[in-house]
Amino acid sequence: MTAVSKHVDLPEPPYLLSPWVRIDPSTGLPLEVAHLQHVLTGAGEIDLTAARNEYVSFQVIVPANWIGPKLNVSLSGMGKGSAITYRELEWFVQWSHVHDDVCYPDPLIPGKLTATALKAGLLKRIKQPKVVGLWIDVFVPRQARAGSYSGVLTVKSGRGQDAQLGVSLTVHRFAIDDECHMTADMNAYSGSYVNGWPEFQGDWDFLKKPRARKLLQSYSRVAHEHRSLIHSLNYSHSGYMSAGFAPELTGRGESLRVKSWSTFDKTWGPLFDGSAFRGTRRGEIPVPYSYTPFNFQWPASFIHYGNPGYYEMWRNIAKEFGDHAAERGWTRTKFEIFFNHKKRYKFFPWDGDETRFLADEVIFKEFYHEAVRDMVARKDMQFTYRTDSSWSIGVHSNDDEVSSIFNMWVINGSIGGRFPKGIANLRSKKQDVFFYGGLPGYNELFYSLSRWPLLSWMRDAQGFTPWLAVSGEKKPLAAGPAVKGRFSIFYPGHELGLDVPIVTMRSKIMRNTMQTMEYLYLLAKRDGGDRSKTWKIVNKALGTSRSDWWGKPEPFMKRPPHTWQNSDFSTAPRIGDWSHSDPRDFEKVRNAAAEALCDKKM
Amino acid sequence: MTTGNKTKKTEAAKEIQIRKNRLAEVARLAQIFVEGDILNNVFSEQGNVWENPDDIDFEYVPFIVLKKVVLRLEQSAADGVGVCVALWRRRPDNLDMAETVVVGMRGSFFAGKNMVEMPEKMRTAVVKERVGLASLKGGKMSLFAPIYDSLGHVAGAVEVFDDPFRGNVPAS
Repeated sequence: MTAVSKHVDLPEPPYLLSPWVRIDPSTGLPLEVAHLQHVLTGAGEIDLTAARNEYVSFQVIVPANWIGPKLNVSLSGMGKGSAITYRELEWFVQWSHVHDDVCYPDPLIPGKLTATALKAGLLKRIKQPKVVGLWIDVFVPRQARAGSYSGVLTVKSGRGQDAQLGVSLTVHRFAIDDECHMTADMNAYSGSYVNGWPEFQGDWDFLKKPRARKLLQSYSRVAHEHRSLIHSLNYSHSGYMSAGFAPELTGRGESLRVKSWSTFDKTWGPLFDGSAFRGTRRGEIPVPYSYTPFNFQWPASFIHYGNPGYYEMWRNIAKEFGDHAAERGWTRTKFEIFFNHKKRYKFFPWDGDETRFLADEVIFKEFYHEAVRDMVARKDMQFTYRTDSSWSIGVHSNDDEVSSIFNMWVINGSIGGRFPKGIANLRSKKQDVFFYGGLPGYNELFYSLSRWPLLSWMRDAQGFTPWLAVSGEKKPLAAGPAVKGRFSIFYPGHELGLDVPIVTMRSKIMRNTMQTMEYLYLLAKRDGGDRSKTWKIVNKALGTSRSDWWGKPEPFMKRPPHTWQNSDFSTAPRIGDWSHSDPRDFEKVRNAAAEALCDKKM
Repeated sequence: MTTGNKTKKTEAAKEIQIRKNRLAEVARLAQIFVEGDILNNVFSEQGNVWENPDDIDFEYVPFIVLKKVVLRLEQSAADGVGVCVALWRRRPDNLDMAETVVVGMRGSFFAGKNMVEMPEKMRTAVVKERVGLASLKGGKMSLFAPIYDSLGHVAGAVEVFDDPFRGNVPAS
């Protein structure tokens, strides 16, 4: 029996464990021990609850010497009513980052690829591993009947050791939707997560290669299954694009037209029509949002800016793009017109992104009136005018022109949270609001991952945007300690000899959290989409109040944004203090929402 | 040295000279078309001596005028081989530091968003008022030449360099 704290009660492995706490394989002890506020129990059996059409997760901690090429996990006896067969079990071996003599499990190797990853050194980083964690996902099919079930999880090392562990599952009568009603928007740039693979490094035309396109789509498939979206900006700050990020153009001036959609369609078309997701649990649902190639330098060169031809080219290619999207049936994706250009790189004179000098907003209005207004007015497909604007959200709390021309706002979570009136103003116009921030690293509590969707829900937002969540790091596993996974919610598999992207424990926690967002959505749906009652449920479950989700503008925020200094921010109090949370606290929200959904009186 | 090797070496030298000439020709055009007086007025008064990149701010008209010139210069290279152009200035608050002011499609070989210690060849251009040529990694070359204002003073420098990559640049 392991007892390093009054809150830890772990038996000798193998044992089953909550997904919210990780075990350091070198010590066999929980990483989050200092944050445990009630007993962490490992046992030979586990009780689970799930909605229909939902994944439920847990861990199996096994002795390290069980890990071998023939390791196998199976689930049996769950009963016909559960509709859970062997197909609904997915298991993974946890890979650990190591720094400061601490092992942080995060990347997950699919069980069927264990042998390959072992050859590439799956466990070599850990000097003397005592235990290794397995991540277990069980998918509860939509056709499952509500009720209680129990089965046996069998772990066989292939070396003579085996264990039979008890799994009890209560299936709720409600099912969550295949659709996501909040968007977990994993920001990325120029498909760099594919361009960073060894075979494509330095190849600016990588999307012309079928293998690169397939890989790009496989990242999106993985994200789709984890209820998130890989949202990759097409162009660089200069407006430059590699082949495939835009249709190929020909001609000039009023004769400018699309020469070929071929590479663009082959790359992105399956994401826009949903066919890339064929065979996934959630099915062929197109991506909800996408950047587009439109920017200050495309489709018209900035050489022509200020002359009639500049916007003529914009309008003509925008029409072709819209017609093409409508013809292809790309009608469920919101295609964003967004200017990511920043003055600091000296390519353009305005901050299209994070506009700090309000005079720069003149360019947003100009584009709107010259081209974008007609684009977003289309009914046969969806263009949306997006701005990423944190400095100015307070300024636009009132009903001015800028707050009216955009359809989508992506706002820094800390600044935006201080302007509830501004957010309410945008929401009253049915504009989409996302909050952005950093992706929590693997060294942070899993609860911090759950905070993003929860905070967005509590602020009436449509999504949240972890910045650079899928990066082009060439060896992110090797680079682990330097960045702590903050740029990789999915990793390239090539470092472990795998030719597919690999998921992480963080991506699993994020997916599970997103599933709970669907509970809250179902509750709000009963009130015509009004989230008010769900906010009360969340606050009651967590012991929180409005001040944990919303702050007040700091005095310096009443000055024009270009006068704000970094030092002003350093003294501003944070909104909500989550540092003392138990890593499992999010389960309280899930349980309370499930209880409300099962309560016929509500 | 065998005759074959000698021929190869001669051809390589010729190729390098062609590339040097190409960069020099674009720099010469930049000296004609870039008005130093405009270069002096690209930063707004409050953004002129920025310390944090968040504070960078421009006067739109001079910036746009020079941006268009820079893009045209990039298209001017003979035989369709890409060159890149960036306009530089010395920092008014520290003349040993420098920064780009307006860049074309590829930025600069030497600086991104931050100010940097003045590149050696830029110093050649703005202090000695001569063309400074640097050989860079991967066989690339970069050239700095001075830009003058109407009073005959050095307003800054033009950097012309080999395009590090090619791609789907829009038709002009």
